[in-house]
Amino acid sequence: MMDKPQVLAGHRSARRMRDVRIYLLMLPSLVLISLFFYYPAVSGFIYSFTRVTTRGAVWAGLANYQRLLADTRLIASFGNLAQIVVFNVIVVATMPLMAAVLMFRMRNPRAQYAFRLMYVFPMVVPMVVMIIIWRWIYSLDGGLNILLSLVGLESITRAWLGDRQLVLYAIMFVNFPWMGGLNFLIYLSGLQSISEELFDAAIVDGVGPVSRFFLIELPLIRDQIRLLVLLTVIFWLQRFELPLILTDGGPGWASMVPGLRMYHSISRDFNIGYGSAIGTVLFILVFGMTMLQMRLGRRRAAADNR
Amino acid sequence: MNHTHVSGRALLTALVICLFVSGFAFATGAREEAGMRGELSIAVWGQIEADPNHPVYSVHELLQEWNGMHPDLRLTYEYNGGQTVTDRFTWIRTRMLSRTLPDVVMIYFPSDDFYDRDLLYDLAPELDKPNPYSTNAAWRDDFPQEAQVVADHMQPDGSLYVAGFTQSGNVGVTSFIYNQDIFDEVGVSVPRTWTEFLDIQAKIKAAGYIPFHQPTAGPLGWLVDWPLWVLKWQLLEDVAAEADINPPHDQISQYELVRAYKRGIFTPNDPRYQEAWRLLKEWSQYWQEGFLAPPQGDPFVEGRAAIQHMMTLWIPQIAANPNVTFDWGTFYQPQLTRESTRYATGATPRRVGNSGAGASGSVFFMIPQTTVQRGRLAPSLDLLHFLTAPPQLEYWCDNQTIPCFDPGTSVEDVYPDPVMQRQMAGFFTPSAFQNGVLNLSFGHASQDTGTQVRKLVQEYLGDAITLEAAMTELDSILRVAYDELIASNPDWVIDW
Amino acid sequence: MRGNRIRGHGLAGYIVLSVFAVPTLFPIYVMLNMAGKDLFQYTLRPLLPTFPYHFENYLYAWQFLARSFFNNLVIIGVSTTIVLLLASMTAYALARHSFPGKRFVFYAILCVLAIPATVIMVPQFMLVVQLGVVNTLFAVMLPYAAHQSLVIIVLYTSFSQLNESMFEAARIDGAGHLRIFTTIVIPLSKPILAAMAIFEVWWLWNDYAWPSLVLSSARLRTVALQLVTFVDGMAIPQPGQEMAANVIAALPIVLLFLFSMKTFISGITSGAVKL
Repeated sequence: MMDKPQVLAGHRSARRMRDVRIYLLMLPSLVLISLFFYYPAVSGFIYSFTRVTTRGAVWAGLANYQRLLADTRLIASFGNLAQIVVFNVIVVATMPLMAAVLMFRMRNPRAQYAFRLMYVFPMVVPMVVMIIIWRWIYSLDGGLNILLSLVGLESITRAWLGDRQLVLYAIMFVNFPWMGGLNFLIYLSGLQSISEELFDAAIVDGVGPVSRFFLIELPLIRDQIRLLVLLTVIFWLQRFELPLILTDGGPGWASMVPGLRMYHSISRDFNIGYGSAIGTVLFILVFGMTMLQMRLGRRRAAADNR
Repeated sequence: MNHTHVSGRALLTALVICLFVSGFAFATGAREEAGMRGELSIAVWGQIEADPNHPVYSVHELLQEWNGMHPDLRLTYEYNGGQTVTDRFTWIRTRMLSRTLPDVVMIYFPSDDFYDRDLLYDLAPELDKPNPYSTNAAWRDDFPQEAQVVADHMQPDGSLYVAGFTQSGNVGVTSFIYNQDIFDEVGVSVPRTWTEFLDIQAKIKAAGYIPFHQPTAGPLGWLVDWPLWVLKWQLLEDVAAEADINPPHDQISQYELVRAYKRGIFTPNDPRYQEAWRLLKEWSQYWQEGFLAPPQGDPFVEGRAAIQHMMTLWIPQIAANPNVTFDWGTFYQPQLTRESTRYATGATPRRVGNSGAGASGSVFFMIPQTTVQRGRLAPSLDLLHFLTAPPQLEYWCDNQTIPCFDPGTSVEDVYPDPVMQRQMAGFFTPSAFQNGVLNLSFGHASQDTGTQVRKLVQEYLGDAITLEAAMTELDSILRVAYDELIASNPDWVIDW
Repeated sequence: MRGNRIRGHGLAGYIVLSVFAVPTLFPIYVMLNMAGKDLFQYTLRPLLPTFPYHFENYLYAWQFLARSFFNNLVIIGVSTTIVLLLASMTAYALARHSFPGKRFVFYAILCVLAIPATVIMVPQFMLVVQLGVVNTLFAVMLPYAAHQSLVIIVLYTSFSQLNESMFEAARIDGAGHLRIFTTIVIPLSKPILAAMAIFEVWWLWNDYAWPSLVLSSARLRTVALQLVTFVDGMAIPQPGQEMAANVIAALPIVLLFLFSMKTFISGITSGAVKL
């Protein structure tokens, strides 16, 4: 990754002058990144040990973390998060992959283009808009209940977001069939980079469509699958727009996730210390996931080189 | 790559220098001129100039009139946006924390959350001085009903941080609105007691309508607080009296709340408090299907719901809505009697709101200390003097949904038209001369606690938790929240 | 023509993809269909098409959204320009030069990707408070302008693949950084820069949480914020107008997408794969 262009030999001071100019080129970026990413990352950790009021921050020791450990509703929200994450990991490893493989094998390039357009299109609808549409679909007079009534399932219609048994599943079900968008595109570009010779060899060997998937396609897009699984985990650990706009974590606490609780603490309840403590826990989780991923990636790269 | 540590230090130094430079650039704002010139910014509660039919539009008109009298001064609006009161409170808090509040802050609901001598300018010493826009001897005399509004907001230490308009104490700002056509079709009339109220809703439900549209989630989810308050006030008259030790009366401060809790005067263990929750849940069988979901659409306007909450503020919208083709009227939440609960005291239901209640009830203004530091006190105080002088107060009153009138006036005296009498009855009876006890709510400790209590109510209404378990959880929430309050208020007199 | 080689499998693919295309596109149908309904049509038939289609709903919604479109234009225009300019400068320095501390700088930029946006939202917010820019467009533009790590990494890989001989020739001619940058790097990297610009616009257009935290004034709302206000804040239900507002809000990205599908896809995939 770190390729080194040729360095022209030169005078020591001239070289230093040149180095200074290079640092100056990078300075604006580095200042902005330090100010808005590294400084907040450190101060966020410090805020988690304080109580913030309109007068400023007061040292509060471990009070926020003590409350966090005793907060049964917060701990339960981690359970909700785990369910959502596991579900989405399973989904991301299957549905968009299926769409990508089927589209990849399509013989007519025009049809392929048309299908690709269809499956990418939902991605360009802003997420907020998508969530608002799904909120309507789930409402008592909304799309889902209309469809159910049409097929004679009137008995199971309900206000889906008001049912605490089902609300979490309703949140998972958003964006059904989960095939379009970015995930699909990444799989497709992965498949397209597989060497043609492999498929030619497969034809000669008489490999069938199912074996072809398991013997060629699946092993060669392992990287994409692993990447998307990681991205999915990180995405759902961090994101809360979906429960925020759909249910606000309700009814009661039924669809609460830690990220949303953090958002509430900061922006609604003005409890910045507690929000930061939740944020620190989430940071440790995300960081751990990323490290794990990097380690697995390095081990695999080493195995491939051998 | 060998000199990583050296260049790292150089980089860090460069960063620190850059941080300082940018810090100075932000810190050195140009100081404004003192006196009645330059710019005066006011934080307005939403877009007050957006709708000429809205009662608050008169505040915009008065502000412009004042600006017209001081042509060298430029009045600018900063909108306190947000969808809910909580959002707008957060806005004020964050601006307060960053010391960036505008010169004058308009607020519908004065809150002791903001009261701090170091953060807001104390108006009390100004009360005995004359108001240049009035002929009265002292500013205090400009406030109606023997300066009721001043008494209502004067703090125990004699400080006052808000001044503004209030409606006559005799008119409520909240009520229930009902669809007369549905009532006629089903054959029911306006209920006088809680039992009758439940009875007519049973009949309405049997006829296939939604008896009561009660949002409990979404942007209007806080509406579920109102009926719970009214139930609570009827059951807890004694508790309120015992807890309310300091002025202003009929308001429970955070100190009084914590004291009452610590002394066992007001705790979740009180069976009367629990009864209020139980009654709310018993009533919820008549709410719309799936009431825990955020509501979509407006079933009352669509003619599918018979009753829902109403505010004087929303009356013009209902009156102007072309979809409202049915007759309608208003009535207040009916009285609890022994038929409904053995804890009934026979007390008249109190009104949601007090002389500080928002919307068409009142409009208040605060001056932050940062304004004083900027040397903008004189024009800010002048603005407050102008707004609260009798002619301006009268103009504001005339533009409210229900005009101001003397206490004791009946709906018939104000509205000769019987249709208007039916439509406005709920805001006149029972008299709002005795408003509810503000903040007799465990959640008043902080917005955080308030959120948690509302979530708990939802859990209980949705059968996710029993009443006993809810109260146990509430108690553990309060223990943490109140200890935090005590820790952050070292000046409190601990007498428990 | 790869598919030709394995016979008998095309049909199943067509069927499966066609079947699943229906629910995939369902929200878009709902959006366009509902946007043309008045309240009466909506109450009677919310799901099936109704006539006439009320185009005036779009006009009504546009009046509500116009100001926020202007805000988005300013915010996204300014921050995307800054991101591209600064990120390409940094990527150029990293990709084409060696200097003491290069590894440190590279990993410092890379590690930002591991810091989750939501987690640093609190202190970022407090920083914006300290800078005194809460409730100004700077509160949004500054952090957005700092959001360049991913762009730097992608541009770094792209700039590294440029042929060194051109740079050498330019240096022999006595060209400075500025001339090399404007005459070699920028012209040769137009596609990837365009892709990155599209990626940034797409990402910023969708952001809801950050602006909702720092922009509380009505006049400063972004499209995403104004949309939620429009849908939630109306006393009289207007499902048609609300959905029309959604269509309008989605339109710029849809247009961007339709007119530059290739660049768009390569931009988004390259952005994500390198993560």
